[in-house]
Amino acid sequence: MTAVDVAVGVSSLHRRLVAVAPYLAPDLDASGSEFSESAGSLLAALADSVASDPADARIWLLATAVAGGYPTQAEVVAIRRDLRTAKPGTALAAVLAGVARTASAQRDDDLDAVVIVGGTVVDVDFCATHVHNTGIQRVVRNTMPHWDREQDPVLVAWSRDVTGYRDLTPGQRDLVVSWTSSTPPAPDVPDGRLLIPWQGTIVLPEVPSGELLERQAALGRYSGNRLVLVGYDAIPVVSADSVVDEESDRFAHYLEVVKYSSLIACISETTAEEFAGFVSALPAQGLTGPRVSAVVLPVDVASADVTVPSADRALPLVLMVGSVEPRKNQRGVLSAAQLLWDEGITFELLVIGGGHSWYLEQFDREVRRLQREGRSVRVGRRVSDAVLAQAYADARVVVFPSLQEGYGLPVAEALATGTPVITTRYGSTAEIARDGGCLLVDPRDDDDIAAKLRAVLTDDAVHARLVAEARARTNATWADYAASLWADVHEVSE
Amino acid sequence: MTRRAELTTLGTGARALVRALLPNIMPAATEGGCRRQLAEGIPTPSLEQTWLVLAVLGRELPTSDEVEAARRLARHNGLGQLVAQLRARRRRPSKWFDRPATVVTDAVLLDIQESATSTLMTGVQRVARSVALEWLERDSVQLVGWSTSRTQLLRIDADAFEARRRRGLFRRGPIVPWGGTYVLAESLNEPARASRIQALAAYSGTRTGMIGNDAIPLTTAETTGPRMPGVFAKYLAAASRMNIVATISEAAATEYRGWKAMLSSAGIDGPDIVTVQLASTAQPAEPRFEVAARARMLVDDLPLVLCVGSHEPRKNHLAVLHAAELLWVAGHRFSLAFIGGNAWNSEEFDNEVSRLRAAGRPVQTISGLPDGELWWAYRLARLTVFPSLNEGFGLPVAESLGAGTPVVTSDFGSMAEIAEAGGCVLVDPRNDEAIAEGVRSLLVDEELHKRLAAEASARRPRSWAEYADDVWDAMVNYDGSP
Repeated sequence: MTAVDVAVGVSSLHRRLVAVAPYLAPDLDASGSEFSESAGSLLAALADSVASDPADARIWLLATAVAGGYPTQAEVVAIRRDLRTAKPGTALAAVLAGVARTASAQRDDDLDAVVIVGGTVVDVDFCATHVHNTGIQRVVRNTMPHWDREQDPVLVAWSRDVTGYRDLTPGQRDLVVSWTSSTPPAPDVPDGRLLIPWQGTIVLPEVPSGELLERQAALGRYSGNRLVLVGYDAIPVVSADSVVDEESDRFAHYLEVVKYSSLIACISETTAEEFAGFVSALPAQGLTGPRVSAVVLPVDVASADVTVPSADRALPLVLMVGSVEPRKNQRGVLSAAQLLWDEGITFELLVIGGGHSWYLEQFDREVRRLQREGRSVRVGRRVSDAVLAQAYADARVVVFPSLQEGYGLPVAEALATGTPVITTRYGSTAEIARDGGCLLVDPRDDDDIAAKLRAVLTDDAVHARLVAEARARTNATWADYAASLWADVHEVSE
Repeated sequence: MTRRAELTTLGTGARALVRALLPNIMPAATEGGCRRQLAEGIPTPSLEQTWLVLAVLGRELPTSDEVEAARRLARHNGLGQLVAQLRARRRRPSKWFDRPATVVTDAVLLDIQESATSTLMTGVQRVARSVALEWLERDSVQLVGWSTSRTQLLRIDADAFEARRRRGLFRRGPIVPWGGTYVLAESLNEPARASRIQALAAYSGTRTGMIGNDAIPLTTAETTGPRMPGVFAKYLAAASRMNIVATISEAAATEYRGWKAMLSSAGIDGPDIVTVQLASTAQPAEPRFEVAARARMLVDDLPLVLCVGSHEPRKNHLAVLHAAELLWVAGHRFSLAFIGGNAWNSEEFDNEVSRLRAAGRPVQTISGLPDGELWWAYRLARLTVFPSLNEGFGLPVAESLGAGTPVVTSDFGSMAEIAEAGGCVLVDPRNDEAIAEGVRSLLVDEELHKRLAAEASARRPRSWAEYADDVWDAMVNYDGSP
């Protein structure tokens, strides 16, 4: 570091300390002349104040201001220990030494900070920085526009050095609250100020990736803010045999964040049971874990595009939507379809969804074999929302016999369109099916899938009944879900 | 010894398949005839029937994916085609080790792959080995392990296992359980085996169970080494298809019950969870180790505080160091010894030990201590401190109490369970001051120390024979009621 860098670094440190001082030592006149010369004397005063009342949240706040980023759990604990054995006047050194790792990870030499007191900070990092739009992103992008209009959340993403929250840039905001499948990627702009949530609520409506987890867990455990999660599923643990090891690994580390959260609001009763199961294991390690609630996702259409069925289809359409992977059970659907084709029943099967190449190759090979045998089967990859909506409208039936789901958005989207669904007889899909429009199957039994498919394809009365049921449902909307989630996050009884 | 009694089998190859799957038909004289009987007798096989056909004719235990794919093939094209495919795959030149698979119907198979082949002796392996040695006294027990490819189940020779002899340990020719009982005595760290055990549990009609040591890689992933949770998840996937998990403590049962409650989302019932409390025996302190132990462990006339376990984050050794420092600063006199090897992420522990030693504090770390000296160390110590963040059992707590030495340990989980029978001071391990206060009380309060030492000495030991018998009752004599 050059002398100039040091000077700049010190002055931004000074500004960050002034920002947090009122919350650590309200009686201190941090902007007064006594501390105007350098950061050192102010840091010493604040460190002494924290040493005299070393609550974890106070340690976390001071460490955040000093490092310019959120400390890890190990850093908070190390500072706590060093403050305990510090001699008078050396508290400052304990804090500086304690945050060395985060301070060196933090790359902005001229970083300002602002404290957000008592607010609702919503971490939408992935949606703000990616154009990917399946499961979790659909939930976030359908919910945040409502929150943004009707409530007062602070939407945030992580800094590029992954040490703290920043306001969204205008481009990032568009990706979250005004998303369409044709939104271009956000332009690259510099990170802004460090946002320091204080005595408020941090909402995590996404499942954070590996590099974020360490500081995320510390936020939940030590920052004094309530950490609230949206719980999607525990698939990487429950169906570990159908995912790669790395995914289970990541999820097990996510569970540490769950452990130190205040509330996990789950997208279905089924998912709530899963997380309640995990929470019930925690007394073995002396912890109580979060409150577990179910704020169930709505049965609503994905996009506002109004669609009517295409005229004169040659063959009835059987639609399957979802990423191509063993758990979704495309193989069971292909096998069931084959049984029906062998019986002479005619229909077109359309499988929409992408996936990992190792599995796509196998699947595509199987599809090509069926096509060579003259079977009417097609694959859709990277389709737009409009094409997907049209497919739901055109389908005679949507088939979705997944082995495990946190919710089952394709089931909901089909029903909201008025299209019958064949889906799994247990778990979250069975929950959605309770209000009508579905036939339930044992997903591990190809013959059962074939039997229900046969009924919907060949028996017009069955089909008409299911369509009527689907249309008669009184479905919640994304606006309802957004309101219920906000209420649950703030523990307001409805 | 009469332990070599041959197992009841249905024989090998297609003939064994006819006996197992078409019990009302006399097997044909030739393998080809038997294959035809199968194709005609079972036009569309169930998943269970498919599993057995793959295991016997394929000579390797199949994974669930393989079973499902094979069943679809048979469903669309008939069992005959599946049988023909398996036969075609075997037409390569036969090697000496390529022996036919034998179908075993009513044995108790105890899987001790790691304990039988490893030279290490971890806590988990000690449990597995002890159960194996006790169970060998029973007639129907067959020890088993896995082929080098981890695809075949092989019989393990009891005498070679007892003598820890590698040569002749495995007997040739794979076996295929169809009925009877299969018990996994160890944790699984090989995903390749996990997927085959999962299918065996799901489809073989064999009653399956395992010893549940803990679910720490799932519930406390932050304290486990890289990649462990991912591998452990595959092990749990196998466990989810079993009938019984016998946990070594009520705390481990709490973890496994929590996990089991998660399974209904995938339409899986999961195993019954029963607690079979682990053995805790007092280890004899042999006189020949005393001099060496005293010389190594004791510092002048200072009372010894002992901490046993590897330096992984879960064991909370940084908190022990800090608590000790608080006491030294306050003027208390004692020496501190850690017995245990380095683990992942123990660099900070090493730094702290160096810093304290440089400051003249009597702290030492010892690894690779012979067991004979370890049992003496427990006896020489004034107290043991073991404030772990999560344990399936907490062996050092039981070992210290077995030596009559009081323990400062965590106020929850398996450690609090062990403490119920006396001899411990319970503390919140996440509170350094509470740990320090617990240690201080046993250093300075003679009354307390005397009372807890007496409680420790009065504890009734639980032998490996008792433990192994109770596991047998849970796994083999199990009637389905918890």
